[in-house]
Parts: sequence; C-alpha cells; structure tokens
Amino acid sequence: MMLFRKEFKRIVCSGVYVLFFAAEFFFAFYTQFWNDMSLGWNSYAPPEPGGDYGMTVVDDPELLTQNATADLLQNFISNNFTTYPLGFIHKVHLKGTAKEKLRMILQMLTGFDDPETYVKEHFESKTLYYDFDTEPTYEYQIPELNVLSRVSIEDFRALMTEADKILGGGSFYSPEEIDSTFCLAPASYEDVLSEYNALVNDDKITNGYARLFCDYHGIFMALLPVFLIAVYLSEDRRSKMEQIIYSRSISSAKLMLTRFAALVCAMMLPVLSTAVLANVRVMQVYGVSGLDYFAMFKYSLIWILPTVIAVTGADMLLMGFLHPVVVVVGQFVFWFFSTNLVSPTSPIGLFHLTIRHNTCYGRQEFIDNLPIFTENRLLFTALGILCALASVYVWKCRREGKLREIKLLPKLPVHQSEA
Amino acid sequence: MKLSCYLSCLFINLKRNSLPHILAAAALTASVPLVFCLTSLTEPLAAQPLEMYLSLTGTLLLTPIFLPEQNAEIRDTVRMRKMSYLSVCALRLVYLCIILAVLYAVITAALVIGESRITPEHFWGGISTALFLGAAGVLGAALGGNTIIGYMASMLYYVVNFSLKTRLGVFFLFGLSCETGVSKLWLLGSAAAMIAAAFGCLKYIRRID
Repeated sequence: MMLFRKEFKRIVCSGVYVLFFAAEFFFAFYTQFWNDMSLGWNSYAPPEPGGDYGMTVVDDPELLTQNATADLLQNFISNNFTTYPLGFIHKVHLKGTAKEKLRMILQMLTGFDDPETYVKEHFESKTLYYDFDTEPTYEYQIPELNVLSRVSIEDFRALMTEADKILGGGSFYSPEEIDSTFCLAPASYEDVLSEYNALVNDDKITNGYARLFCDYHGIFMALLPVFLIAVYLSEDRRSKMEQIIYSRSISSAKLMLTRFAALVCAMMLPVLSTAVLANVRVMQVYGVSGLDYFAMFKYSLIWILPTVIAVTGADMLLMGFLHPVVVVVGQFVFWFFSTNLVSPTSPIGLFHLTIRHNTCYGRQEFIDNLPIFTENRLLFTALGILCALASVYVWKCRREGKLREIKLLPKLPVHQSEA
Repeated sequence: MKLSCYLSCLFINLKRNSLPHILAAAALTASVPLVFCLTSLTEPLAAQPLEMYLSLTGTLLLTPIFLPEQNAEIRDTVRMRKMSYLSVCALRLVYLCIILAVLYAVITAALVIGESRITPEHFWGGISTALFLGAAGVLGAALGGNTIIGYMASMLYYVVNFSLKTRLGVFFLFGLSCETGVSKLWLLGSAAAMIAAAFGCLKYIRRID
C-alpha cells in the first residue's frame, strides 16, 4: 500500500501528468461534452407536436432496397464511387472484372440485362453536371425498381455487402452504413417523445448523458495514456536509477503491478473529476430532481476503465522491448486508424477499443447491444491485465540481464541516449 | 569552422540520428496512396492527403531533433565541442525541412500525374502545415525537456483540429481541404516563431548552447 501511494504520488506530481490531466479535460470534456450541452444545441424540453424532428432510421425494406439500388445504379453508370475505407474519402473507378461483378449484382437486383444501357435509354436525366471538364455526368430519375420481387431482403443485404467488398470497403453499401444512409424517414412525434421519455424516466437523464460522456472520453483515453506511460516508465533510465532498482529485494511482480495500478488510478482521475462537472452541467439544464447521480461514475468504470487498462497494459509491455518514441508513434498510428474505422453510428464490435454512442438517446439500442458491449469490455480488461503480467516477466528478464531493448535498426550505431 | 566539419556533421547526423525518423516519414509517405485516392480529385479533395495525413511527417521528422542529446551527460559531451550544440540542431532542422519538402514533392507529383487539380498553394500550404506540426513538437520538446512531450504537443494539436476545426482560426491546419480561404502564411510564420522560441528557450532559459 505504501508503495502504491509512493508511485501514485510520483505520477500525479509530475509535470507530464499535469499536461495529461489538462489535455483530457480540454479535449474530451470541454471541447466535446460541455460544448454539446451548450443551450441551443440540444432541446431539453419535451418535444412538441407538429415540429420538425429530423430524420431517423426506419425498418422499411422497400425504401432501403429502392434507395440503395438506385444509388448503386447511378454511381455505376457514372463509374464514380465514394468510399471511406480508412475514414478518408476515396474515389473508386471500377474496371475489368470488378466492374463485371458489380454489373452482375445490378442485373440481379434490377432485372435489366444491361443496366447501364437500359437506364440511359429509358430514364430521363434529372440534373446535368460536369466533372473535370471531361464526359458530362447525368443524374437519372430512376423509378420504382421493385427489387424485393426479385431478391429477398437477406439476399439484398448479402449482395450489397459484396458490392462493398468490390469497392474496397468503407462504402455506404456496407452493413454498418447501409441503413443509416438509405433507410431514413422523417422522425415522428411519437418516436421522439418515446426517446425523450426513455431518457427522462428510464435513464433518469444522467444515464443517457453518461453514454455521451463516455463516448468522448473513450476516444481520447485510447491515446493520451501512452504519453504519460512513456515518460513515467522511462524516468528510471533517465535518472540512472534503473540499476539501483534492479538490485533491490522487491519482487518484479509487486513493483510492476503496483505501477500498473497506480497508472490506471491516476489516469481515471480526470475522467472521474470531469464526471462530477458533467453531473453539475446536467443539473443546471434539467434541475436536480429525478437524476441518477452515480450514472456518470458507473458508466466511467464500465466503459472507460477497460480502455485505460488495455492501453496501459499494452504500452507497459511494449515499453519493455521498444524505445519510448517507437511506442508513442506506434500507439498513435493504431489509435488513428482504429478511430477512423469506427464512425459515430457504427454498431459495437467485439474488437473495437473505442466504443461509439454519440447521443444521449438510443437507450434501447444500447440495451440491445449490451451483450456485445460486455464481451468487448471484458476482453479488453483481460487483454490489459495479461499484458501487464507479461510486462512483469519482461521487466524481470531485463533485471536479470537476459533481455535488452530491441533496436529496430540493429546495425546502426546510435547514441546511447535514453528517452 | 570549416565546411568539411559541417558536412561531416551532416552525414553523421543523417546516418546515425535521423535515419529511423526519415524512414518512418518515408513509410508514411508511401502509405498515402493506400489511404487516399490520388486521381481526378478536386482542389479541396486534393488538399486532404497533403494536409490531413502527410502533415504528420512534420511531427515524425522535426520533433526528435533534440532526442540524440536528451541524456544530459551526452549533451554535455557534445557541448564541449567547438561546434555549438544549437548549430548542430539547426543543421538537423535544415536538412529535415529539405527532406520534408522532397516527400511533399513526391506526393504532389503523384497528384499531378493522377490529373488532380493541384495548385502551388497545395504544395506550399501542405509544407506549412507539416512545419507547424513539427515546430509544435520542437517547442514542446524544448520546454518539457523530453521528446515525448514534444510528440504529445504535436499529435494532440493535430487531433484537436478534427474537433475544433475553424474555431482555431488562422491556426486551423486543414484550411485548404475545408476551403476556409485563410492564408497558410500564418502557419508558416507561427512555425518559424515556435522554432525560434524553442532555440531561445534552450539558449537563454535552460542555458544549453
């Protein structure tokens, strides 16, 4: 316990921890959550009948098949598809077998032997625009295609998934995006009122906002810990204390696991501190009655803590092998791509380090996804703890002189300077 | 000081200190065609790989210029030499900026060959963005005394541009992609100021020169 207090104090009193705390507070809380709760962004009063409630995803197979097929057909004719395989826009122009495969999919969906020719000959163009002063691009008024008379909804989804693969992934035809892109209808007063009532009565307001709070914190807590860990764990080497610590009688497991626990606790401090502020903010808007005051903390522990444990354990393990700069850059690359691959509307995946739920509503959707959410969080907690245990072994080997830092360019003589 | 000394310093630094970072930046550059389409892009879309992705080469190349001498004992050994430590760092800065420009030239050429709409502003604007990120890293490393803090400053500023966007005003990195119309000279000037501040901090406050 004394060792834990000593390590914890060492962490929280360091300059880099102050930067970490400030960054977490500013990025995750102030610029995102606090900003979202500014009056004007969200309507806090119950919805009124006859208003405009925006669009919502509906379960309408005919609407979905018509819109998605028409869009695919339009893009096929202009041979210009927009995809986001890694979160950044990608323009795809098909040729060869890929184009043939997509043509076959369209034949199955539309019943047209040659979809391109048929549309050009039979349907009027809606708009004419030029793209790059080359061939003019037409937008066709595609009528009702009755796709479901030719394929079932399950086969339709399978064909669209195949189309997405042909396009290289990240298109609007993927299973994650197809409904939220092509199956939208105006939200009804009853739908919106039902969501509002779920937030107020079932979620006791704060549970809903806690999910939004954790959505933002989860993004940054997948990246920020690496800086604190890299500086903290390399401090022994920098101050030339490593050999002295190696010679002490303390067990490797006790020292490394205590450091792991101290790091995790220190990193949860800004999350739990801002949870207090988030509660205050919700109280300012909704009043003090009818709230679940522990919601922010409960969700922080079940949602953010596994992310912190996973990142801390993995980074501690990597720090045993690699130079701290390599660990930082590697973590950033991993975070960059993993965050870009998961959109705010993506369903929860088992291997998603960052879980998105970018709304205070959607209670039923969250409950429906609770099993996969639980598996995901348990997986990352287990992974983090395993990595922490592995880092104990690595540290023990280094202590015994059996393991040295891996040099990525081993034949390159470099300075012996340690980060 | 003889030119041969500077050339010797240049080659040794290229080979022994900067090579891993140059290789990392080259790998990032090589991955641009995998992440982005480079053909037939409009002006805003053509700016995206240069501003939103390739600008990280600034972080990779410039942030670690003080890394080789981060150990105080090694730094003291280097400072004993006739060539001042800060002039060695300045030399590193110069050749790394040239390498940065070369990497940008490669991707800009790829965009031109792909018949994307590219203007000279894309090239210089992209370099300005990368230099700004790199300079943020340099300043962070100088003030914090640790290269990791430099990476933290640079990477977090990059990340915050995705959320705060145009609220960053003239310091918004993705101005060309979002067509804000703000001149990139602000970023270039700020980069120069940050680098000057970093060197000034080392020379006058921490007394390392």
